[in-house]
Amino acid sequence: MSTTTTTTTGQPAILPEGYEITNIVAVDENFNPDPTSEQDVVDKLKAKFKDFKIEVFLPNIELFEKLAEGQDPKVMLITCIDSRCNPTMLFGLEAGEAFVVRNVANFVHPYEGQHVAHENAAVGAAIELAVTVMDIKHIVVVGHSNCRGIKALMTRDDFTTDLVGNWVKVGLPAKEKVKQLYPELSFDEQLSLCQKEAVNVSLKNLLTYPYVKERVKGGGLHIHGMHYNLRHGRLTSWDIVRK
Amino acid sequence: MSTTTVKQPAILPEGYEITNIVVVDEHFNPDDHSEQGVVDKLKAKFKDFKIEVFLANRELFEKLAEGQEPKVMLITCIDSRCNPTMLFGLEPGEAFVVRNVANFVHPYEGQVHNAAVGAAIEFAVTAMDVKHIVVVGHSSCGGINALMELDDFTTGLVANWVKVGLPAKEKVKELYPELPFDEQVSLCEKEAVNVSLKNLLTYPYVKERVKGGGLHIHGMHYNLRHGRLTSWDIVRK
Repeated sequence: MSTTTTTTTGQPAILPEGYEITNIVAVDENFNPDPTSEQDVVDKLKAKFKDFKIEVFLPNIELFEKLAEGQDPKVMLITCIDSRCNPTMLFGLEAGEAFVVRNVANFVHPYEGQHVAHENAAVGAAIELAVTVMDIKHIVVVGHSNCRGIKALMTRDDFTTDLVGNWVKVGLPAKEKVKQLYPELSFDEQLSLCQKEAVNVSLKNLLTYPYVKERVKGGGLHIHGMHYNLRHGRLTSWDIVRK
Repeated sequence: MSTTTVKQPAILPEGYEITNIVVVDEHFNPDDHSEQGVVDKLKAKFKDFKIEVFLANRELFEKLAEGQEPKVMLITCIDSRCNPTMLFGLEPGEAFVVRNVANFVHPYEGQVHNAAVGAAIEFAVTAMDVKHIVVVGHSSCGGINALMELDDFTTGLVANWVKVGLPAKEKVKELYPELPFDEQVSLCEKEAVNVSLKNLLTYPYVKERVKGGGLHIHGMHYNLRHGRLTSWDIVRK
């Protein structure tokens, strides 16, 4: 079924009525920034891309040519959207080393079968691709301190009012466990424990994917949790194994 | 919620346990006997980060621990060759980053409990007041390739996820039927970015802020074979 509308010239339109494309720019080693531009934030991205081209891409052209033929990463990281938690920064990721999924509070929801409505299949599509098509060997879920998604989980009572609430409520078992086992701890300490237990909830949910469970059982796939304390610059890491 | 035999609430499923708990900081000593090459490397690199970046920029990281205030959100692909920190030299605190298969944004309507991208957009725009959203597509994208190869019988989560890009596929097939498949895929990668930008505008608070001039939306396409970036803005006429 075609969902395209057409413009007045009869061509299929992607953009909604009233919007247009402007400021098309090609950035490579010859890029000259427009001095009259006032788009500081995005101008910086372009300027930094030029730096990447000159300082990283061109000096490693053989690697990038090889990668252009295909990628073969062995690990997938699932991390938070938090601006302080870029996995390339934390783990010195090289181009081609890891698939990276990033969402609010690095959650994985339970597998719901093959016919999930498309907007809900974000993480699932990545897991399916990485595990069944690309045969990765490790999945790491990386949580972190000062996570606003986990804070929302711990502070709210109603999770149905908005998209963030609906998204983080998958972590309720972590909240319940922390509140049940550690009622005497301060809220901040409970928050910290919840960030780690929520990683375990996501790891448990990873195991609801039949092909994940099967490969973990067979020893061809390993799952791990990590927690980055961004105040102290400390990483805690653990593995989930079959008993 | 199930409980273990000692009546403590259990998170992990029956038959699984936690092992190999390790703390990594500047004093970390890798275990010489470990055979977990791939993950060991992540830990070793974190130690490098702690020493070379974190401790060398103490003030910045202390400030960031008090809170983040990024002005831009990037929506990029999970592809291992397209790390936005590498491409754009991102500093900690500079940008929210969402990563999913083929950097798609789905329409606002109908999202409920499992709206990964929606939750991120809602948070970044309404709670954190970002000023720019950039959707970054790229060449050799497996998700766009899957979209171009989809037929009525393709099933699975990847197929379900990329179907949102069908308008891009239809446009390319209609306007450029004579082009070889590879060139059609290449055009589709860029049109699919525009589909996502259009879908961004279906979020009421995005549309409102773009109209008011407080939020700007952009598309980018990274050609990973040639090391070239194309960038464009979407504006109201």
